[in-house]
Amino acid sequence: MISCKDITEKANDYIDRELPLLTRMKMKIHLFACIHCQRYVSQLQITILALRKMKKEHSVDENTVDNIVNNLKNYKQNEPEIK
Amino acid sequence: MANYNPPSDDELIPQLLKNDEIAYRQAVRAYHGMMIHLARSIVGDAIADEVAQEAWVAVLRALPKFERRSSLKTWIMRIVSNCAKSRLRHESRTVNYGTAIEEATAMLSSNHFDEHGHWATPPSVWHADTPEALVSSTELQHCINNTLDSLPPLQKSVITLRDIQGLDMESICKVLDVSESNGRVLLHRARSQVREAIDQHQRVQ
Repeated sequence: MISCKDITEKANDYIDRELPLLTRMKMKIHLFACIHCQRYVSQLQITILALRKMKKEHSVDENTVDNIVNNLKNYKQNEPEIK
Repeated sequence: MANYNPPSDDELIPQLLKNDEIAYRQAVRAYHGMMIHLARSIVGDAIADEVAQEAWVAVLRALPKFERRSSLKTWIMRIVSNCAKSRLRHESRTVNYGTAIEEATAMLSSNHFDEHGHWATPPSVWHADTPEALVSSTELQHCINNTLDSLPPLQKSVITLRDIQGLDMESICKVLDVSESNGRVLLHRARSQVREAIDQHQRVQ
């Protein structure tokens, strides 16, 4: 029998569909009957979706681009030759 | 400003090797923001910029030997990860990045369960129970950010790259140089910690 503790340990792989079919089915049966575990799995899903909404833009302002490119050009000009 | 899509690796790499300034600019526009995020997730805000700058020099130096076994993006991110980890070692930070795996195997604290593995302290009912509600509450955002900051560096890197930045697990494991199974353990642990923090927060409300 799969316990509530087992469910919490496998919940992440369950959500990401990384579990073997048999384990997945056992979890589904447990979840059908256990309100606490249903709540746990649902809260973990909500947590993951909330994290996805925190995605930050990767845009870089042009001053930063200038600075980095200038540093790289300087580095290239002064780079020791590899023998 | 929208994200910038770079030219393909096939176009960009030969131009970078020729030290073409336009190619440098294209690469920096495309990858620097992500490099900063990755560096932050490992070394924190204070020196993330410095680490990303160091990584650019390392990228340029190593590019002639790049064998293209991964995409340019994954390869660059791996260099950032290595620069950041070596910086952590150099600064003798208290958390040992390399051994965080063992710590990550500890699961949800055992006092939540009785001796049969049934809930002793079940999850609370959340008053904010949608992703939108979680991110629109300033206090909960604060709680999530504090929890992310308190995670061991590897856990923080995995959850940031997977759930916030949306990278696939295979790339993340390559970038951080961990096995796929360890990567999954780290992700599980990190997500559980964040859920637990939200649960605690909502319990005391």
